[in-house]
Amino acid sequence: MRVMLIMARLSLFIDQVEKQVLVWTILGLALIGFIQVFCRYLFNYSFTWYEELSRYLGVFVAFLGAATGVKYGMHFSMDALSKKLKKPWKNILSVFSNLVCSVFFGVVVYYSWKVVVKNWSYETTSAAMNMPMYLAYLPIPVFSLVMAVRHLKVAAAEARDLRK
Amino acid sequence: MTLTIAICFVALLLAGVPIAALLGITTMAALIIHTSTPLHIIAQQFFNALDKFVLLAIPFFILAGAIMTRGGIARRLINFVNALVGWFPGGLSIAGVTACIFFAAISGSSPATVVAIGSIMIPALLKAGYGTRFSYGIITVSGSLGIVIPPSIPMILYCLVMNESVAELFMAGILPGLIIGFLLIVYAYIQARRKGWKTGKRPSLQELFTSTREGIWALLLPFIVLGGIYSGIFTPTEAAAVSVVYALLVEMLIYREFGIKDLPNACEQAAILSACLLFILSCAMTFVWLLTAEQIPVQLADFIMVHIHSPWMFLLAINLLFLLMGCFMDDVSAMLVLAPLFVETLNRFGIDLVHFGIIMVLNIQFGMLTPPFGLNLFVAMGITRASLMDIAQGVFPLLIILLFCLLLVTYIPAISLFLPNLLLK
Repeated sequence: MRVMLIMARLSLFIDQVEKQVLVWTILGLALIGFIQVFCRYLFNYSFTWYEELSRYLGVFVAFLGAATGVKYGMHFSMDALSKKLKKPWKNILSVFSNLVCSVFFGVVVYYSWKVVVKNWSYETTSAAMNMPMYLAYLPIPVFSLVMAVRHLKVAAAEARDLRK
Repeated sequence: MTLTIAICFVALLLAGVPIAALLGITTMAALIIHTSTPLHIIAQQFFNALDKFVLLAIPFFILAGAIMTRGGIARRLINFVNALVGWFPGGLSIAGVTACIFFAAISGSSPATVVAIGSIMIPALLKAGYGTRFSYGIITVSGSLGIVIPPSIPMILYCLVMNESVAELFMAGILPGLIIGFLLIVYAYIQARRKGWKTGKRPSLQELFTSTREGIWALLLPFIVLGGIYSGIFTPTEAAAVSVVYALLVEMLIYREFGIKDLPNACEQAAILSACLLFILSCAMTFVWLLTAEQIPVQLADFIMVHIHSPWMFLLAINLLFLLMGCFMDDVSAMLVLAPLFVETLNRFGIDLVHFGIIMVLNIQFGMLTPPFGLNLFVAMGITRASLMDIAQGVFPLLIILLFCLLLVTYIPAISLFLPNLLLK
């Protein structure tokens, strides 16, 4: 019982963190972009690192948000067929499609992790910020893993529903 | 190879796999079955697709739209437009269309425009005695101008997959958007005349002045965004960043309807949605990379050239294809996959890619107004609590106007290309 409670709290906490990080990263980037336009015209000074930072954070935002999107079922899909199906087939189809997604993201985790490790061992850095490149790639394996787990969870829930 | 891709694509689509994952899985399956390419290329392609500065414009514009929808900008815009044209016959509905045109010029999304204008305008129209279906229809359809009049999120996506200039495509959308808006206004005027709906009274100069002064902050934004891009002051991405900050400043400091605490909740949905779009884009570009590496667009062009001999027929076929695709997947995803496939064919027929982009956007607009993926219909359902049937029946007569405009824009390239040629070349 206690474990369940802690788990529930933890998941609420993760929801909050996901939301705040996602929203504030985008807003923060917009704010820096705004300031940079002003600086360029008023002081003839522009941030050389801004473009690079926003490109890499763009990767981060896309993968973080995509992982959040899996949780809320916000990804676009063609559900015309699955909506029409009756109870057992509907669940079976959903289990199938979620398992396929989970496996796919699992494979992505493996190969993107290899890319991260390669960049880490070669110590490649970015041109403007001298940021280690493996950091830029890191969101891909991390959030692919989250997506794989979440698709698996949806599949499990559908499978449980099937047995009822 | 082509067969594997086709089978995989259709099977997963029918199984209800999200479009983004579907594109990734199809790419992976084709690579495993037909080539010995190491799979880490997929991770690399994901990264390369997202590693672009223009792309940030998408979350920025979506967030700016969300902020303006929640706050007071939309309401003041409507007050201003209403004082301006509300006293014509059918004035309130004309004001509704005009407000949508203005809001379309500050927001890049069409559902956001429907929410922002519709949640105020539809109840007002109903209260003033306009027909129920007419009121639902005119605002839902006008709201779809959000993606035709720049800024526009589908246009940015198109430019990313086709390597076109965002500034040019934005410019090309202005005239088609205004033509559609104008025809909608004419329709509203004729309907109001025929049905004898009452007209508002003419505002005094004082009232006009007050509503202008209050609405000025909303009215300035299109000029800042578009003016900034075309005078070379900033890039489209920076314009998007400026519009987010501008919207925040106006809502928080001038209208004071928005606190910093409301921000995460107001922006959450928009932020996730924009990230999902970026993710689809990244998967679609990986898929397109595979298609291009396998020379499929060239094969497709060879095939099409044998069967279709004129660009005229080809464009008609494309429009029909998109109307058909719209029944199976949302048109934005369809565009991301299909548009790059036709690049080679378009080049051989000598069709301008900017012109083609506008055709794509009008098809997306159409798809947003027709089931099963008509996002605008669902949004309108949400704000009016009416049934899908009522909304769809209201929208239907106006779809004829949109189809007419689609044909017009398809066969008269000058409508799209006139402004970019005049001002950017």
